Amino acid sequence: MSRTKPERSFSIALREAVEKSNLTLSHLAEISTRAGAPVTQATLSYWLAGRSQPRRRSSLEVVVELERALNLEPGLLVEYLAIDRDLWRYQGAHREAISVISEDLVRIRQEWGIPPDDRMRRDYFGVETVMEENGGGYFVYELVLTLRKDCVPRLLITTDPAYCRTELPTDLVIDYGATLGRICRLDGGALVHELVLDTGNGVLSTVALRMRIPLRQDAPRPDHADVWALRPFGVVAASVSMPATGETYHRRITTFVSERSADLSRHESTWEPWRGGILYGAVGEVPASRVVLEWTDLTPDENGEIPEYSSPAPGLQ
Amino acid sequence: MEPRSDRDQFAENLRVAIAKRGLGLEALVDRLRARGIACSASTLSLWRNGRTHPRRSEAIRAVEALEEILCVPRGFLTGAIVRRSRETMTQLDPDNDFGHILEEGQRQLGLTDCDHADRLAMREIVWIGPERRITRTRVKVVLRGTHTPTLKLPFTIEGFAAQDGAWHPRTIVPNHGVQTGDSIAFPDRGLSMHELLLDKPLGPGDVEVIEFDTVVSEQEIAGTEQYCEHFLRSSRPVPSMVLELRFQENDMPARIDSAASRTSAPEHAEYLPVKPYGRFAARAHNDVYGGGIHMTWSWETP
Repeated sequence: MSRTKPERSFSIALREAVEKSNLTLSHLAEISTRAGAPVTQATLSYWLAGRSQPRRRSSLEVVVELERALNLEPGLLVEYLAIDRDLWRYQGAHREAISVISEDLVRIRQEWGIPPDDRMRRDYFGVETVMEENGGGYFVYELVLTLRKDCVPRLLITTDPAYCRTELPTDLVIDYGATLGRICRLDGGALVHELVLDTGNGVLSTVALRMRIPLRQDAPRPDHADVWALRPFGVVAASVSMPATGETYHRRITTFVSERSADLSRHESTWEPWRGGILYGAVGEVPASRVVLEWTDLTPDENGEIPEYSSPAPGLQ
Repeated sequence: MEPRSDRDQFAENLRVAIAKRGLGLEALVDRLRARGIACSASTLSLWRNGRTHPRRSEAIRAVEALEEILCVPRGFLTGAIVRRSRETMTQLDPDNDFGHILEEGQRQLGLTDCDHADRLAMREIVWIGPERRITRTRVKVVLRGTHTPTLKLPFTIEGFAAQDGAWHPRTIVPNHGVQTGDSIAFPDRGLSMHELLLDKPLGPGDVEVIEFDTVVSEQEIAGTEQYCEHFLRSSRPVPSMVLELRFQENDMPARIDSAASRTSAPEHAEYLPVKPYGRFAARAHNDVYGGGIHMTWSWETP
């Protein structure tokens, strides 16, 4: 996660962005300073020429402001830096991960006034599949977010109608932390839900949110959970809780992680026996990630493989 | 900037370790960078002089790497950080002496201050039953291994006092990723410390979620006092922490308040009203190290 590009790359990326923007260094320094990240024109000039690069923690805020002023994708400049702070939070999602976002979703964000950089720190994202004994069940979404100054406290959550029952507005239940805003259906059927965070009295800067969506009764029983997070998150977790039937299950966890300046890397566990009624798979502190959790009541052979099993999650073959 | 502590063992240990190894701060920065850890010379200098202390989990990882680079025993630096956090707990809450209890419990269970597992997130759900007593809690912790495989962790929980004054510890019921090992009780403090044995060793970089319930029997609950408060705290850095209350339908308290603090006892922080949603109420906090969340509730109309 911390491989550093050559130092001159930061200066090249900054120089190209400044030239495209037609903004002067004096103007950029003024914008950044006014936004609460003071910097001088001389410092920017040094960075642009490659004679120095941002190293102090306070410089990170300046680079984030430069990205905003230059209308760059969040993280485009930050990913070149080596600053001793939780840098991964400021890196943009890798392009390969971003590519799964449909143009429709980009358009919805624009129409609903949600900028690419909403200035929220994403601490936790968990999706739990709860399967009940009577064949019913529901998905539980849990999020923890830290609100920064000037943040846009609204989120978009996309749900898959193949598994989620979302015909009625009352199907989606928010237990706490937000109210439901607009809903939009994408081509292909996926639903986009706007969640308006409860910012309380403005003092509570960290917000916890929990919501539930019922499983479709007419859909096959889920045998995997597939959780995407296209922004930097402290933790991304997929889990399933099963009724206590006494059956033995095995789990396999596959994660796709966007590491710094690298392609999405895939890590796959072996099939592991699972004790108890709940099962987790998680990744931590990554700019973008996908966690796929699979479970089965089949038993692995002596090679640790399950011959009869065909992976239910797309892209895992 | 923090005031320099008279007993700043971490700064002293770091100073000694650097001097013995004979490396300059820039050389340390380069070696950390080679391990994928970014930490500036100015930060190292501030730590060495006791002007600031590592708190964030990223900083703790840098300290763990420094133990290897400086060829000092495991826990020489990280243990000093944990001990400092406990001392802060004790200084801020001398009546409770929570920090020393943790130290004594760990010693008796044979656990060290340095368990090589980052806590990435911590969540506790508290169920309040029909008798308006806490019946059960569910604890979920997301762990990431640092450099040597971790097999066991300590966890401390509060028990219940019955009306006759007898103290009842809670039982831990594992749900995922752990089993219970030994435990030690501190009846006069109403606390017990438990050894949690991981189902599989947590190797460097591994991320795993552990989950367990803490319960008391219904018979025991019947004789306990009504506790209308709950703490969630950690002596180790936790970037994300959530405490959630679940009441009975149609029996919500008249008032719920919460206080949260990063580095000191939460009960010394400002209490704010918590807005209930249906039967739920939650409070979250970030970058907690030695602090935590305290929630209180009451059915009496103010």
